[in-house]
Amino acid sequence: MEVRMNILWVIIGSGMVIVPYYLFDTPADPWPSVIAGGIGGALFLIALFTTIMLKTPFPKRTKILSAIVFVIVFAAGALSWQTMYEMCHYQQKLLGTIRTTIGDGVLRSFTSKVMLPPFHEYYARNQRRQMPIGKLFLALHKDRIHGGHFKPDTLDQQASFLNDISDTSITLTMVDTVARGRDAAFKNTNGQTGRLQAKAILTERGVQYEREN
Amino acid sequence: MNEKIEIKPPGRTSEFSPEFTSGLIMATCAILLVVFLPKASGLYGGRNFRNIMAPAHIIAAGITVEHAIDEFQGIELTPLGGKTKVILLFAILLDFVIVPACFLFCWRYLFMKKSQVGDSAGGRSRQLGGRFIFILSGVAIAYVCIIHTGLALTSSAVLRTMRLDNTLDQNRSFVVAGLAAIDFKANQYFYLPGKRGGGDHSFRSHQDPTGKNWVTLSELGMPAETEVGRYSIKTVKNDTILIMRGVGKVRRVNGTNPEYEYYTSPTISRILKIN
Repeated sequence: MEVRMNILWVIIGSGMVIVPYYLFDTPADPWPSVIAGGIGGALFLIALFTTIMLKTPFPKRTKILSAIVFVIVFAAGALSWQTMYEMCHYQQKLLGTIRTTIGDGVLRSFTSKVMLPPFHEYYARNQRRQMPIGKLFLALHKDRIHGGHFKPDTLDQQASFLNDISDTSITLTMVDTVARGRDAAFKNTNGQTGRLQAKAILTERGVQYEREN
Repeated sequence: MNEKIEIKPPGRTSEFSPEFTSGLIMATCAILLVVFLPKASGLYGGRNFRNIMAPAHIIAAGITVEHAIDEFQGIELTPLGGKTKVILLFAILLDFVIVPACFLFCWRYLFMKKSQVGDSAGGRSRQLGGRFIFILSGVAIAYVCIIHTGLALTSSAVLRTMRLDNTLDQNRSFVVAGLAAIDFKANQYFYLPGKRGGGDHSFRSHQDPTGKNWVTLSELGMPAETEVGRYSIKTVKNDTILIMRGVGKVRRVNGTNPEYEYYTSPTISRILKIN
């Protein structure tokens, strides 16, 4: 009789873990299902421990000591879960921040590399300013411009688009296809969502770099 | 007359008790846990963590960090595989159901049978089995607890250090980024003609009629102080080399602040870490 009860306990316990585990299952993140399964398991453990302590005629001292050990073990486990959760998510966030910082630096450097030469040319060599800065930019970078696209240095992780081309100003919109921006719902120019995007405007007065997301 | 009569020796049963059988199954799981846990403890942040019996939260943490690295490298995230999900589930079952149940049932069994079974051979065998499972599962629980507590304490300390280090590193990065932004503006200033508010191929201030003073941050349209650091133009070596200084606001352990010097000219830029 007792064996059947024991098996029933294990079956119930397994159910308390398996059902929430699969109820909160998400495709890429393991934590919702692990936490749900862990909570189910913890509840089962409390119920099982309480039942065993109540139904077994252990001496009172044993019961008190067991309860203390149980609480310590439980607290250690809970602390470990919480710390590990915090730790890995902190690392995840940190890696994201590092990638965004790198991405922003790359876009700034790209802006400088692409926009400063025509600016320099406009004032240094084009003494009479016969050629407008917009045309100068297009002339200097004609090999890199195809349609509305501006060929970036790193093809696989950056997309650049030329907007508002005129004689007096050039606007270049750059998207880092990997780094995340500030707003996760931001619609990027290249069709992606939530990626780092910056805009650089070249005029006769200089270059203006502005992070859009 | 041909019927076989099985004679059982007194005090001995022909099969193991159901308690012992069910306990044995649970003990197998406990052995798995005990055998594989040493590897698990060494796999914190290591490789192939999904293939061994590590505690569920450690496997999940490993997967999260692995995903973060993939995302960093621009690799598309793939859904978790069925095998990983089953391993995770099994780890939770082992930690929360199988091993603790095994321990508690055996403990109760040993306590209850202590006075009832007496000295018979079967009773001794069952008690021995029960005691074996009890000790084994107890060791498994103790081991998991040591790992849990150890990891929790280590991780908390590591996390605190990481946060401090990262705050300082981030401050350094922001100071450098701030100096790079000033460099970007300074370069434009250098090329811009004086009548347009530039330096006309010089870093001298266009606002200074004597032409002796150098460009200021306000002329470049840059703030001297931001929430992350303080910036200044230290000196100008000649008309074409500008030296800027950036001091971070986060203090290092020795009480000093991170400090950088940034040398900029129309042709080359160089950063120097002072502190």
